[in-house]
Amino acid sequence: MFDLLALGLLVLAFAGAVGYVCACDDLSRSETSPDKTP
Amino acid sequence: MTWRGWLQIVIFAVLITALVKPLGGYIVRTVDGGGHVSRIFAPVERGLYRLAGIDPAEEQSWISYALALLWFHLVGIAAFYALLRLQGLLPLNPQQLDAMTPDLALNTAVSFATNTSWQSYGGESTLGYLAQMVGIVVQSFLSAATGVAVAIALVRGFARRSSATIGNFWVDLTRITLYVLLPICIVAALILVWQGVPQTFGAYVTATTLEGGQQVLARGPVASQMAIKLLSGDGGGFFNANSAHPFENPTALAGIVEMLLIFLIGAALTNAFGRMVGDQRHGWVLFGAMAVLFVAGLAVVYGSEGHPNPALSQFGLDQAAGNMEGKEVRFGAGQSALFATVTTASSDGAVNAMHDSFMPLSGLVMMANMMLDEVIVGGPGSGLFGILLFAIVAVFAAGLMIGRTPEYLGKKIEGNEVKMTMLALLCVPVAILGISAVAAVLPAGLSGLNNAGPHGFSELLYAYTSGAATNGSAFAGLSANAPFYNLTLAAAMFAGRFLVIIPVLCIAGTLAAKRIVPASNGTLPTHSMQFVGLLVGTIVIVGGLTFFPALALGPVAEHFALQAGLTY
Repeated sequence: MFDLLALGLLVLAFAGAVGYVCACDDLSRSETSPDKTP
Repeated sequence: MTWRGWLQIVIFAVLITALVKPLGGYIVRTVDGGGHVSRIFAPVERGLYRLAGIDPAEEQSWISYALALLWFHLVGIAAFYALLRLQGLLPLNPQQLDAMTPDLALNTAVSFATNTSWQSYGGESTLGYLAQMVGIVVQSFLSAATGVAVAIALVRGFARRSSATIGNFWVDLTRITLYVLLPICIVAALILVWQGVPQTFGAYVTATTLEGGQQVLARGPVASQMAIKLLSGDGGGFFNANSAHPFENPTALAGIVEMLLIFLIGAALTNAFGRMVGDQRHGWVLFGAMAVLFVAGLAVVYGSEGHPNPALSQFGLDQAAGNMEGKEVRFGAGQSALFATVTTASSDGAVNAMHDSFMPLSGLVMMANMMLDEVIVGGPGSGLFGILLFAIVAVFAAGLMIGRTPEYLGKKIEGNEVKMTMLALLCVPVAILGISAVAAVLPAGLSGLNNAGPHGFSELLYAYTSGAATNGSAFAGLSANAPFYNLTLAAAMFAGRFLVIIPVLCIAGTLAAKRIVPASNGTLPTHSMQFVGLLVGTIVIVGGLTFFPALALGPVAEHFALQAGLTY
């Protein structure tokens, strides 16, 4: 029972981390302007 | 303070500085698949790729790189957790030690996968040889290689122009493990065996003491674990006493070798950074900033420990050797102060003395070293990407002051990089201060404290600082093997590792996609002593503003109380 809870917490944490990757990606796409450096 | 203590410090500083350049060059060659060692072991590397179905020529975007890293560690933590829970049924357990409890197993698995090595258990009384070797040692290798891989990916972001990729996580992980960590560890383990560290599968032995009593002496495959424990920045000891145990750290020479191993990769990566961006001076600037912060911290710690403890002076004790409470007499105040500064400036967390017994100002420095986000050498890779985050803040602040678009190494630092840098830099303080605040008011948190007043608060603050900064050293005095501490510390370690790495990889990806702007007269020089000062100032100010209130409640208050004759 406690093992399932522990592994559930672990999967939840990593799912959150994957969501964090997606959020960072969204933020970077909305922030990055095309490079106009000559 | 003694001349022997200063001599050890000078020897250590000279040796580590001398090793930075050759090892930095070696790392750059091996990461790209070159060099003699790579050529010799190339068939092994190719075999591993074939086995795992990986195309080493295929590069990854930052998102693919991050997802591969997360997937790899999810599987690693789950496998390590299972190993700890099934220990009683597995071989190589001559003492027939039982399985860990679920909360302790989760804490331990997260701890070593995040390169923290916080240990809420005593190694020799909890873990069998299989768990030590297949669990602790393997995770030490892989977590260190992950840190270096992330740092290399970020450096590629600076070095590449208009690139959609930052490397291949699996290739970086494999090459760093095979060609950098493994060869150094083999040599280091042999040196430690020569100095007297055990390496055996034999069971614990019973010895007859001089008084005629019986004493069980724990032993095992210690030397091989010590080598990667120190090199990886993990720091998790085979024995509960860690590097204060005579079987982990038998001689003064072993002590110096251990400290060199702790700093080796982190220091050399500054040179690797300089080489990869095409100008080694940039690497020396980072190394210089690290050195300034390290020397300042060491001066405070050795200054505090090299003098008598005023609370003990009133009893007429001979304190000519300094504050020796909690220290091994074999090492003295000098090497203990050096080791404590090295282990907290890096992310290692091995200890050769009890940090709880250091003077309050030493405790302050040790906590500050960790709170500064592992930028003083730090762990393998994490130190480099940590200080590069502060370099981005420094050029951003300087850009605002002189009214120009901030640039670093020819890359424009724009809104996205600054936001990601802030996300990465704020994650650790939020974890440390937020969870410490919760633990300081909940009965479950307060019940673990063994001291009252500011010292008790320091114990608690140190624990979460050590966890979130992925250091792993303990102040001691805290009864941390309880579900509340095991779970909250696991959360701090997870946040302090993965929630920092993700924005770092995002920065790597966006920087790699940019062009390199040629330097002009208006470009802020980032290879000068002036930039060392700017970088050190940024680190101290950001760290000071963030953590000073918490430190004032703990070690600062305890320092003044001690001067007034109050102890806790």
